[in-house]
Formats: sequence, structure tokens, C-alpha cells
Amino acid sequence: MADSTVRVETMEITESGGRQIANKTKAAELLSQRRGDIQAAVAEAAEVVQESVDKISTRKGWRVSRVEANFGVKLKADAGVILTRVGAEASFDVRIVVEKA
Amino acid sequence: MADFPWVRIYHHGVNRGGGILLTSQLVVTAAHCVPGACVGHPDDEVTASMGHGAAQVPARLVERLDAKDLALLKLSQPMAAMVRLPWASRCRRGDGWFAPSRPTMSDPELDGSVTGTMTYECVSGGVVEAVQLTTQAHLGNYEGYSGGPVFLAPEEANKVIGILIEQYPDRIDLDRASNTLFAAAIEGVIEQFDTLSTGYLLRSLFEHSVPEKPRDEVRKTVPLDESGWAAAERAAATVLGWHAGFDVVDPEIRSVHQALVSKWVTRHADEAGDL
Repeated sequence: MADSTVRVETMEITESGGRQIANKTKAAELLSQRRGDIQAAVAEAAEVVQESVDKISTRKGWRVSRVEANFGVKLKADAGVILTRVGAEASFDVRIVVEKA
Repeated sequence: MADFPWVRIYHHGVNRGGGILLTSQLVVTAAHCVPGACVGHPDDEVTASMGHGAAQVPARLVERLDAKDLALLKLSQPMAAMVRLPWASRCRRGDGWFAPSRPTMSDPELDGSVTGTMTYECVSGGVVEAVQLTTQAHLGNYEGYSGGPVFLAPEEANKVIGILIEQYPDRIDLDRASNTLFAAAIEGVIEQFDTLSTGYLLRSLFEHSVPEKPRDEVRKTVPLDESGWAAAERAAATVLGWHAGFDVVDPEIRSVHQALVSKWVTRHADEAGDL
């Protein structure tokens, strides 16, 4: 995959909360170059969800055995990743399902 | 070609937003349309074009005020011969407005009504005098319209009231914009830039090849360190007096002269209750 030409869209992220209305730059980078960013983001998000399952206690004989989380992964143009709501201009929509082992 | 004095602003080749010609070479836009650009940047970093598809002209950043989201650019060559330069004006609640600078030829022109004038805190932290606008076009996102001039209806008046800087988000769905926009009021915009201050404009005028006689006349009338409307008015009146018989061909001189006259006209229109 090192010589892959698959590209992924990246976005300029500003601190304006979407209020400033200049056109933002969209670019495409090789997916292989952003692989680490994406994998780290998904792994960290999965860890957070997993830990939350562990912290849910059993009540009156019932236990939560499965938790699902949906989020978007938005790739910043320079570097890094932002987790967003699904569909909010995300580069990827991710669904994580955590089940009790 | 545009009928109104607006330009498209490109930063590193990306069509970022609009701008307004205050003179044949001086352009005001939103600072966030030229992110990271600084005075002395390379010639090809910021460019401007009159309308869509027209040749791009290099533009030099003269001043930027990030907190107030304003930037002043100077084009490498005059453009205003092709358009009518605007009258700076004020507005009232209920006035009609339109914004001729649209991101591409496939995007709609915005128009609507003025819903207020106010002191406004920009998302970048600065406080400006602003005009609150309601637009008829519900686009959900107004990116690409920033920096473009807002004119009072009807079109024939050629009166500019502000430049677009921000949209207001829908408070339920924050990913969408409501149809409320904010423009920095043009009079406040002009006052923000040192380059457009009366003293600076006069000094610029004198530093070029202006005949000695009018120089002396203006010096007697207006001290060069004086600022404000009164100084602009007296200076412009004096300059206009000799300008009638003096053919200004240097773009630099013409540019600062136009700025002086623009300030003078605005003040007079205000006093006459025409704004």
C-alpha cells in the first residue's frame, strides 16, 4: 500500500466556529500519508467508548452488554484529526460497537 | 465584468472572498480572506480580479486588523476606470440591500433587508460598528461571500454600507447558518486604517510630485497631524479647488486623492441628511 494513489479530502479548520464566511481550502492528500492519524483517532475513540462500558454497573440484574458509537473523522489540512458528528463535513463516518467480552 | 466596484480576492490561488474598491487601487476585504498574509508578502500570494474569469492582478497587503477582521490591500495597477466608485453611506432598519460579489458565477447574488445597526463583537475578538442583515436566500452556508461589499437598494444609488464578515449559525443545527449576516459598517471600516487617515493621505499626496502652490495652500488650511472629518473636509475642499486645473495622472496620487474626496463627500452627505 505504500505506493497507493488513493487520496483523501482534507479541510482547513478555523477557530471561528463557522461564523467567518471566506471560502475554506479543501485539498487531497495520499490516504497512506494520513493513515496514522486516522488509525490513532479511531483507536482512541474506541478506547473511550470501551472504558465507558466498563464503568456501567449492573443494576437489578440487568447489565449493559453492548454500546454503539457513531462519529465522523475530519482530517485537518495541515495535520491532525477532529472527531465530529456524523455527516458534519467529515472525511469518514465511523461506527464502533463495543460488546462485553 | 462587474458594474459595481467589487473584486474577487485570491490567496495562494484560492478564491477566498470578495472585496471593495475604495479608490482605483485600494481594496478593503475581510482579514480572514487572506489568512496568514503579512505586509511584504510575495507578489503572487494575494491577487484580485474584477469579476469572475477576469485577469488576476497582484495585490499588496497594506494593513491588516485581525481582531476586527479587516484588511486593506493595494492593487499593483489601477482598476477603477472600469467601474463607478461607490459612495460610502449609512443605513436604517428596513432598508433594502444587495451584495453583488458572489463566490462563483454559479452562486446566487444575496439581497434582503437591514435589520439593525450595532456595536458588534467579531468572532476574532474585536469590536466593530456593524450592520445586521437578513438575506432572502436561505443557503445554509454563506462561505465565499466574505469581504464583499453591501450596497443599499436601489442599485442606481451606488451607495455602499458595509462589507460582509460573518454569518450567524442556526442555534439548533450549528452546522447550518441562519439567514442573518453581519457586515462591518463602511464608515467605521475607513476609520480603522491608518493608511486612510486624513493626515496620512495628505502626507502621501504631498510626497508625490504635486505643485508647490497647492501644497502650501493646504498646509495653511490643515495641519498634517490633524485628523477627523473637519480636517478631511477642509483639506478636500482645498485640494478640489486646485485639482480642477491639475491633471492627476500618477495612480498613487489619484488613489489618495480619491480617498480624500470620498471622505469629504461622505461627511457632506451625512450633514445634509442624505445618509
